[in-house]
Amino acid sequence: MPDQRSTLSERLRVLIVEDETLVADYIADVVEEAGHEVAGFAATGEKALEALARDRVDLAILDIKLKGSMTGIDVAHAARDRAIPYLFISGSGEALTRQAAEATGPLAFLQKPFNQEELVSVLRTTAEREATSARAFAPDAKGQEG
Amino acid sequence: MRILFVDDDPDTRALAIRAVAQEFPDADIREAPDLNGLEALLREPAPDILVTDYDLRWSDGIAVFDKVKAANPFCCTVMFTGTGNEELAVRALKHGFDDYVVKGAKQLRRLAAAVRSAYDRRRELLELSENRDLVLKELYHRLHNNLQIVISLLRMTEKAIADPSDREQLADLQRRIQALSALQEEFYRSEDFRRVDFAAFVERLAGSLAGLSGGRVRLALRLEAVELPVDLAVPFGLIANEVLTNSLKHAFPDGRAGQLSVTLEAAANRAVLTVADDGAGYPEDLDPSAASGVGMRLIRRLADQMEGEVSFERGEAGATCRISVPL
Repeated sequence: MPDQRSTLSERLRVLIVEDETLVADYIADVVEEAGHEVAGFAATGEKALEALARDRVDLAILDIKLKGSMTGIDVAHAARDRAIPYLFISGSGEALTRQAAEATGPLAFLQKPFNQEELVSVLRTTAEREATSARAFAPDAKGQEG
Repeated sequence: MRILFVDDDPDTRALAIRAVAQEFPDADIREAPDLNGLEALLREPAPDILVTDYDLRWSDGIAVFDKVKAANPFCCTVMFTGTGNEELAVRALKHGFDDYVVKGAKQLRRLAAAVRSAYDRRRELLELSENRDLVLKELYHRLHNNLQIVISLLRMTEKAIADPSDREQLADLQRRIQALSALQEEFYRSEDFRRVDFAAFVERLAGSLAGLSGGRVRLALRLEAVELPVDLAVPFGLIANEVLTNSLKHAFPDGRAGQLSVTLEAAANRAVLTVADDGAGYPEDLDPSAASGVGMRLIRRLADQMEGEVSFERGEAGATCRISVPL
């Protein structure tokens, strides 16, 4: 039976924006175990914007409440301007915050403590979509190096 | 701030307005001489204060109160009437008016003072309730972040352990905490923080656990609406987590595909959860109810706590576990 590995998919470079170090490490772990790469960590919105401008990032994982004056929703706007897909992982259960976050058009909104499988599945779909668009631009390419 | 005066008599309205406006010089003052006027005003931003007569040609003060409160439940209300007696005063206060003032030239200062103190009391209450909401939100946020940290710590520990069965125990523990947290979320979603939409919880739990099988295991859910008080939802939810995890772990070994049926029924003061798979079934030599693992111990202990019953059946194919709990 074919499994996910036989599907053409990209190895994503993921930026983790989370001010709780242990949680950031955990997310990194899940990302790497799913076969992707951590492009970097940012504990503040300001650092996240720098990373988005400087590094090649395929996907950003955003906490909403961050250290400093910016929120994850501010970072989402910047990511969207650069056409970088993102998802939220937040501890806030507040309807208004969630609405504001969802209005930016994320791939997903995961509630903390998040389900590892849900994150893996978002990563998988994004990687497959990236691969499809990579093939569309380079029909002969068998996938890109990470 | 918006103050609404309702009275048939324009002179009384003018006097009342003058008295109250001295107390609230910046207020936006509106008058409703009749029903049309009142209804038109209530389509605008609702008043914060209502001063109304009781005896109106077109209605009465109690009906006006109801209309205004429907537009703004926090509006503070004072009845200002000349036709009144003690009986009406009691009736108005019982209905929810903040105060009651008898009309009269010397009563205008009393009216202004009554409106002021009713308004201040209402403001205080509102601030208290806003503070309470803020504290709740902060607590919720903290709780979920801390649970996330606990899971991160468990994962870190799991990675440092070499023995696969020890690692599996820690992974199970992570799933139990996740289930608790999903229960907590349903609890927070409920309007009164007292009951949990158990069907919604089971649906989410089954969905996310079945995700672990990578799509090999199909879910067939038949969930009746069951709302449980928190003290039942937590043990029942933890049991559901054990039973579902068990099925998904053992019923479909070696990448085998299959179906997991989850049924939740509410009948005759009982809630019944049935988890049935068409997988490998219980091993011949295993009596599931006597098994000694942590999962089975949890199921037994929590069922005892709820005075519920747990049964295990071997089907033609697969295994069925049924938990029945008195409501």
